[in-house]
Amino acid sequence: MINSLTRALSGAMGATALVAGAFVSLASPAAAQDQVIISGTVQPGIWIDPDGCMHWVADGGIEGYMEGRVNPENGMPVCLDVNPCGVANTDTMFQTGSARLTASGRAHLREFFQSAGAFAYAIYGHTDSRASDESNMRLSDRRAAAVANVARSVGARVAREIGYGERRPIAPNDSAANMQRNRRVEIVCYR
Amino acid sequence: MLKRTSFILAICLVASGCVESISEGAVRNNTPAGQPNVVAIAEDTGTDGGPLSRLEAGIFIDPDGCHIWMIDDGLEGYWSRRLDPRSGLPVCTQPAPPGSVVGDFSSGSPGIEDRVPRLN
Repeated sequence: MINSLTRALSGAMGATALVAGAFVSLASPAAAQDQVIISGTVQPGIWIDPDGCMHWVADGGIEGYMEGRVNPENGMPVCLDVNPCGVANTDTMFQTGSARLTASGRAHLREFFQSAGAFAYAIYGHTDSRASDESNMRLSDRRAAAVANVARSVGARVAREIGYGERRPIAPNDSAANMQRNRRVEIVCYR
Repeated sequence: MLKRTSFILAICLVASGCVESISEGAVRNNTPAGQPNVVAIAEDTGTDGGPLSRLEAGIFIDPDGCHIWMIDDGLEGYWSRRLDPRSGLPVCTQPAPPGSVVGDFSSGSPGIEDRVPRLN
């Protein structure tokens, strides 16, 4: 125990010395740019949460470190598709350009929300890239709201309902099949 | 991110019989000469050890009502925010009041009793 304490103390003093060194090199900005002091390395693992999203995790002996992994391009969490709680193609639930649910679409959704068993749901509407961005935003908003209303009608709690229009495609809008994939309502179950 | 263990170490120093502080996996001295020290790794090498990918989390509902994954892995404690996988937004719908922990966050850690200091 004393041994480990000595080590911890000398480690702490080493860190102080490094901070002092970094301070000195910052006094000259040009030098600070070429001289990055690497004070240690971390070899993190990945922990995957129940939603499928990744977190960096490392054990430093007595300390533990964890932070969510994000996509450097857009800041979004990096997640595996482990919880496909609901992605519905909107072609089967709505007429083209309409936010009125078909009878079969409504019945399907009602059944889904009655059996999914989450404590809340997030509902996201998406379109393909035809028509204007503005009208797609409006349409996806109204479609998300229509789905959310079915959820509420069977007593499910809706945490959020958002229309993203054509702005978050899952495929390039370069073929009929890809555009169909982009026309969708995503339902995320909060369990 | 959470660093909670300094409290517990302080308690270990006062009360004798704290085995965990010795065997809690020092990883700082195993680096080849000339290389930066490895200060943290993907495995808990202590008495309750194992790969960190196997941790089990509960949900802590923060004072704003938003969810944080919470794991107690013996001496180490971990917090990381829950984000909606599709929108990237925080999850803030409450299954319980702020301050609550929902689910088993103890990660099945054997043998390490937590003594949490009361702040008031």
